[in-house]
Amino acid sequence: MCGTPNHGDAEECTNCGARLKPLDVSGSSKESEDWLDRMREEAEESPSPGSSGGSASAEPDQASTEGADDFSDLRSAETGGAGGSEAESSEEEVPEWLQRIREKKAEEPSGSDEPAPEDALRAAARASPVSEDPAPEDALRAAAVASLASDEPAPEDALRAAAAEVPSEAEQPDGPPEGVEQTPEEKNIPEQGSETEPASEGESPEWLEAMESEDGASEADLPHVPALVGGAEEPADEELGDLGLPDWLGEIEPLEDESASTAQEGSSDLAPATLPNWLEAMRPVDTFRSVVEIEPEDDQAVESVGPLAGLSGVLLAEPVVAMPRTSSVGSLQLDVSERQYAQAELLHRLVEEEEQVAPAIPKRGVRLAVFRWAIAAVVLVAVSLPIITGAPSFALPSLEPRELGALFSLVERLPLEQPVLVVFDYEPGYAGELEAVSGAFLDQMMARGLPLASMSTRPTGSALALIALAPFVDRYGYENGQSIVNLGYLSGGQTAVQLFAINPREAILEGFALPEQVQDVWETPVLNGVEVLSDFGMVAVITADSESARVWAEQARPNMADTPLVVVLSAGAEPLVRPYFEGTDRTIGGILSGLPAAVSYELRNGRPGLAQERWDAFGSAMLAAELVLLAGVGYGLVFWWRGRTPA
Amino acid sequence: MDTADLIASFVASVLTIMVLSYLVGDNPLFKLAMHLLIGVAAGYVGAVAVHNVLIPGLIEPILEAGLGGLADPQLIVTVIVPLILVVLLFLKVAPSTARYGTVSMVLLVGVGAAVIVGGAITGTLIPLTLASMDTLNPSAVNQLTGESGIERLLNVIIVLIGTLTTLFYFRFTVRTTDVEAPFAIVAGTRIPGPLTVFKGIGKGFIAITFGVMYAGAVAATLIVLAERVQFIWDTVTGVIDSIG
Repeated sequence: MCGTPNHGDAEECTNCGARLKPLDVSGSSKESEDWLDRMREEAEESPSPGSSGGSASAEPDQASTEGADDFSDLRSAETGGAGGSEAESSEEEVPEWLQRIREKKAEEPSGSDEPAPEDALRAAARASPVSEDPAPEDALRAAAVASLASDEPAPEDALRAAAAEVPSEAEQPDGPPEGVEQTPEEKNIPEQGSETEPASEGESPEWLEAMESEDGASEADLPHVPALVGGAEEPADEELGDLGLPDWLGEIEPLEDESASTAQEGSSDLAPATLPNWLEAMRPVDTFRSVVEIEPEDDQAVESVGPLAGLSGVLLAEPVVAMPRTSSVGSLQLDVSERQYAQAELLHRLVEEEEQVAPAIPKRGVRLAVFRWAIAAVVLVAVSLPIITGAPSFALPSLEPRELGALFSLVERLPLEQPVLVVFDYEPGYAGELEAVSGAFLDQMMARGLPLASMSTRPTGSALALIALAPFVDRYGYENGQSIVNLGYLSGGQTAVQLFAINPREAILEGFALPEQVQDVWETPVLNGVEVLSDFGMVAVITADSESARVWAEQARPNMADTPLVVVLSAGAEPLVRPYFEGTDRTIGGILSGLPAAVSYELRNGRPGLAQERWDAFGSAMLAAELVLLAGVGYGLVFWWRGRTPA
Repeated sequence: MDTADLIASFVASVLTIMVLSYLVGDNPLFKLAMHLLIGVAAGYVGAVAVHNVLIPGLIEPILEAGLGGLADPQLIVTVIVPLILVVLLFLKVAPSTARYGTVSMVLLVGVGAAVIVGGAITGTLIPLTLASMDTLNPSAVNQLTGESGIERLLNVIIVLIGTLTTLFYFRFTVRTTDVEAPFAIVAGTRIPGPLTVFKGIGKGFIAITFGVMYAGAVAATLIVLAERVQFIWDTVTGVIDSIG
């Protein structure tokens, strides 16, 4: 379909891939196949363009002569297709002018192997007799394009040369060869060729000038070329003439018309506006058929958008663009590694486990309540018996903690002229323990007559200080405001502790529960010489919270110079504070924790106190607690053993 | 024991029993005791804050300085500015004016965080790290115990093993063969056998530490319980004696 010459045995076109041979040859097309085969045979028997001479760059005369010769062969072949006997007679009676050309041609050496333009013309001639859709001039245009592509002389030149070579009626002594039907148009070829002068270079052809002259014409005067639609009416010759075709094309029109009429004679059984089956099979329908069925002109929609708005019969771009088609973008596929897959599986499993309903735990409230009451009863009885009955009695500890001696010695070495600051940083709930634990420590200091100042970072601490110091104040004759003062509450938490360590007088402005005659707590005999924290002889923190001890170690210790920091702790807070005490560079100089240590302290003091008073109750309660723990361990072991043993 | 002390002791004993009634479950007596405790504590804290902090820190300086002294720069810095911050913080009470107290909150939180972090680094992190390093020196002599020789060596080994295994227990990451993420947490990855032993030893040290802390808490609680029982018994005997 593209006009490219192909070998006779080729099934498909090497250029456009169009099928050259019909897939299904029906009996009705047998006749047309016969004449086509004959044409092929003749084409094969005739000397090739290469062998016949005439290179691609041959002289115009030679080319024209050659073209005229081939063209005459073509015409004779086509005529022969229409009537075989007439063709044979015409070959026998070769005119003189044609004989001269053949002789001249035989003398010429063979040229290039490139296909001559006449092949393209022959192909166009083959298609023109049977195809009514393309106009004859279209086939010739295709031939012209093919010739331009092969650097061959333009077909019009070849035709013009052939026309010039062919003698006119007046010059032809014998006239047209016998057996060849000469149409009126054919008769006009030499005349038209003589009348039409080839366009010189730089000079527009007449048809182009005619088009330019008609630019100002009205739209109605423009030639109307219907779309290439099967069934559409073929334009009349007059209309084709109005198209302004070039003159050289007009020269060959009669030839085409003649060939077309000859082909029509040979295929008169073909219905008009239909293609023979073999040609229908050759058409690359899928390639050229539009996806949009073109409707009749009356039904064609008028373009509403774009530069073609208002025109009807145009190909609508919107349906084509909007038609769904396979995306050219490849689908996104996750590149998952094995590790990622394993993690995804793990996450999936976790989510699945979360979605599973946990089995209901059987209620054991009654059982737990019984155990709770039983344990509480045991502990209460164990605590109450020593207090009420005085039995059982437990021996006082003979061993004392290793750190107790250091603390006792530290207190013994404190100078009497420097006050000791005691910080009561615990809540009332721990007063029962810490009063007993710190009693011996306070007893030792107050027994020595050390001036004391108390304070607290908790609002309730000041009151607890009064309660804790009350027994020793009375015992050792301490006078409030003179030998002992209560600084009260230090508000501000850790920040206030640092402020107090830097400048105690700015941190606490007024004491707690001081006598009325005391105007300024810092002017009392106890705190008169205190400007900074290091002016105290010792700082002791009594607390049940390891956090409070850590705050004093972190915030106050750096401003205490050589003043020792001692902590009295609840038994539960000792493990977290002990590292500050057992290091080589000890932040805490002394530690006292637990009732056994307090009892040992009282033993060192030689004066019984609250620790020894509660020692029996504490011992009995600890014994009961240990028994309960052992019972629980035995209970668990029994159930564990029963669980292991097969039923 | 005089009458006032006897009445106070009696009320305190009754409140103690009301709190202990929680043994049988949540009940009105326990709730009443809790409400009384919270109310009294809050009232006491408020009274302490007013009498020990606000009055001596804000009110008295202004009254002593008078109107003419308000222009004193030292008074402005130490009294007026804190007073303004206190007023702004007090606006937190109402939701509509709470945003004005943000300035005071920012100051409190910022200064507090700076103090805590600084103190933790200089008072805990560095000293305890150096102490742990010194503990591993067999030639060093403990100032507290004076231990040396074999005893010191054994203690050093125990401390070393305890420290390493405890740190290993809290290290949940496992070195993987993945070059891109050698220390990535691989869920479900089982730790090799020898490392599992270290982890178990660390868990043992942690369990011992928590056991000691729990034992201390139990001991403290039993001491408090003994003190409360002793107090109740003293009150009962005091009432009986006063009646008799």
